[in-house]
Amino acid sequence: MDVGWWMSIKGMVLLAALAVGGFAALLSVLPGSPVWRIFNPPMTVAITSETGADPTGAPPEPPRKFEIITLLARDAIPAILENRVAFLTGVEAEAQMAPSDRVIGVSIGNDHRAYSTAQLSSHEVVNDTIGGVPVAVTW
Amino acid sequence: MVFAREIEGQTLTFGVSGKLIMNAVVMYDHQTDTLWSQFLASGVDGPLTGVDMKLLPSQLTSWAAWVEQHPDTKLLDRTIGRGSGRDPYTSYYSSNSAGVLGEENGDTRLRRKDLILGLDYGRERIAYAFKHLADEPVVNDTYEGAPVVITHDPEGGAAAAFSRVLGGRTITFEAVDRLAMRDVETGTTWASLTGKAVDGELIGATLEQLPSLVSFWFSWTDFYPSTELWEP
Repeated sequence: MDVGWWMSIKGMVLLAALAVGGFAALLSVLPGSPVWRIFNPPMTVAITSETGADPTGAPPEPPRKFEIITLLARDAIPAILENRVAFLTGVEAEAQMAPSDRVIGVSIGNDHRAYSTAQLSSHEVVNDTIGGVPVAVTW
Repeated sequence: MVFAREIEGQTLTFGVSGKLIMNAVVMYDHQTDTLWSQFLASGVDGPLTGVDMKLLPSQLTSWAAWVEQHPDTKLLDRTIGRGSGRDPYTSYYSSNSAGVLGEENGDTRLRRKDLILGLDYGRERIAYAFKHLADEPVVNDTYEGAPVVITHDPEGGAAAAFSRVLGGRTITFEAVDRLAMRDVETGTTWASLTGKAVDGELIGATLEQLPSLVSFWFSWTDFYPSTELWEP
């Protein structure tokens, strides 16, 4: 029996299935794609503002709803942890910076620290302690 | 934005969750696995949901302007972490794009990427546009009954907010130069971005800095659609 026609159709079906499967697999790792969203559905949270008493004595605001979208895996952007921070001063610091470079500056007591926003863009968060106060510098 | 890591009696370590709320970072903490919204400054999911983070005063400015105010500053070593030090968001700052998720609330009182200093008074929020502050770098304002002064350094691109109440009396400020202001009542000179009295009768005094944040206009209005906008 000649099964060539069947083999070739089977081959095409297999190829098509592989292509579809590969495309779906690709989509599932592409953040924000429809398949990614199936595995990482948006989550809705209700937030009540609790930033101090209202001076006008008005009733509290009703909770607002916010959608949390998952875009990347946890730690895909690596925060800088406290055991990795190290600081430069004077000419060593100047050597790494141009005058117009943007920084987040923080002063607690006499402890003044600057964090380059370009560096923060790759990490989003630096865990540090300034003037004895544990802080998170975020961008 | 800079936050205290001590929350409800424990010191937390923060990481990046990979999640966003309206284009703004959502963090998680290693100790309790709570999700924390940067912009809302509170826990949004997990054991510490609804707990507020304490926002600490900080200054977004240029390296030169920061060193001018704090010559003995430390700099986080830029060789730490990955990357060349090139900012991957460079084109995002200057483009008109509202971020990966787009914006919800197209408030046209300012341009989308105009920078503002936003203040949060419980349920009332007010924004001061940098382009307005450039013409008036020291603004004496009263908002919800609280006397405040808003200061701006156009060269460094920084802005700050302080209470104008000191030891029970309300004081009024006028600009002296880029980084200094003077109070009308005593003639004391103050560093306008740090709120410290540097010369005159009140030398050594410090104004209470109010939590505020520098933001794009579209992000601020996405989170706070009913915000007021200060007009000169």
